[in-house]
Amino acid sequence: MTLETTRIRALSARVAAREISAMEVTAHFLDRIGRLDGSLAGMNVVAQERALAAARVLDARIAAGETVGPLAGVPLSIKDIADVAGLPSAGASASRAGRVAAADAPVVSRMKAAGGIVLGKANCHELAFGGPSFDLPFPPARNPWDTDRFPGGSSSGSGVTVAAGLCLGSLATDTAGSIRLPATMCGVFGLKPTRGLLPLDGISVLAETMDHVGPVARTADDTRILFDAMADRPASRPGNGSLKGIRIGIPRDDWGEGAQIHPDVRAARDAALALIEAEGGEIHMLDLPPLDDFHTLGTVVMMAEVAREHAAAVRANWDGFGAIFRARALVGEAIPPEDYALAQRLRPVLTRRLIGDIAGVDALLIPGAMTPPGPLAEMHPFYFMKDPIPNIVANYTSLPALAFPAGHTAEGLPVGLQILGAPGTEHRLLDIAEAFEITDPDRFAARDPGLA
Amino acid sequence: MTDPELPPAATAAERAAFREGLEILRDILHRARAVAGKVSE
Repeated sequence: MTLETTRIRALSARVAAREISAMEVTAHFLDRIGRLDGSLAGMNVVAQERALAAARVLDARIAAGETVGPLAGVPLSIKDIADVAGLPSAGASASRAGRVAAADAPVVSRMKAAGGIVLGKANCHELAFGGPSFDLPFPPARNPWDTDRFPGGSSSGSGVTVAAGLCLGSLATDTAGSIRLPATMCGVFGLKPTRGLLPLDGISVLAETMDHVGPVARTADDTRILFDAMADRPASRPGNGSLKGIRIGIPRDDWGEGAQIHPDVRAARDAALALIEAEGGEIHMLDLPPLDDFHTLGTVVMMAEVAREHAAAVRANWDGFGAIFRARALVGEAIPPEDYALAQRLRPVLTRRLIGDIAGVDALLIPGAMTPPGPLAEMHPFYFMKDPIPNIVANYTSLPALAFPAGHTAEGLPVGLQILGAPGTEHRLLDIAEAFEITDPDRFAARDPGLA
Repeated sequence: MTDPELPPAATAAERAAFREGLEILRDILHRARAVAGKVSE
């Protein structure tokens, strides 16, 4: 097993036991970034000297007999909208060129305190919203499975750097699916936790009541360890790896997504359901509020809040932003205040309905994305608004959702699924995804794109 | 819904994309209002 396919729990144990130094691990991943990222654009900033210095300090602490945390020596990328002290924090936007963070975002400092080594800042859509764009200071990140394909967004670099083995974990953010979409498109895991569990301080605001932060990683257990560190909790233990007795809900009648869902995504979902039945789990058909209700109301909230947060800056500094960000940030100015108020007023109503509807199951199984990754240069500027997308459901309701790999198309492109649960069920979701991963690794484990 | 104005610096392609975004948003607002009619608060 190579270092880039080593699991976090195993790597940190080896570092803590001085079987391998944090310096060696850090140098290995910096070398991969240097050799491979030129064609991927997964990183906006590579903090080589700082990373090596942090690794040196960690090795010295271990040599002195100190106990180190569960991320000891684990190489990380941090989405460019989250502050890392001393590093540029431009959010891939010319409007913030030259901005250097004075302090770590609290969630970043927790990952560092657990022993994580920050290799640099991961590429993203402009301020987590405008992309994929070709008119920014950084080129768009490219999918390691096919560099002409969309890697998902807005946390594009998080998905790319993890899938390409440029790091073992990444901090990403999610306002309408921006953790789960790149995880799905790049064939890895991405967790959007329950809103409020992780602090958003030190992270650029996109839509103030829809934003979330969470981890992207190569395995369910890696995702679990990263999430625990981000939540400032001790590392929790894995589940039992079994699907026996797991109760999975699926929306009756395709939830209004039938016309959009790609045959390969449908096949992945069918394979998951067949596995659950074969392993002694249960499948429950659920009558849920229509997907489009969540999509429309969530989009109204998000677009109104984005305009409130960013439209004035765009108008004051037109050339400081890319064309896609400008259009998306200003469209929301058209939303009347009464429509925003209505969408917010219905939010607890629909959230209660959904929580009630999934109360009899462990998780709701839905697509990670409706289709495999499309051509990078042909993404519609409003792709996330055109058709109902499953991701925004978890942002509108604040419920936790976990994207996980579910195989590849005949062309070798990743497809993924996601599971959504009641508030605070992150570890249950991780246990379920890990059971899929262990039971049928050929379909449900992340694959190595084999970048030499 | 009052359509926002783009500044003179906006290109023709940008204006076309923006108009398309507004059309999509207009449809979303229409559907969102319809939800209120069927969901009891």
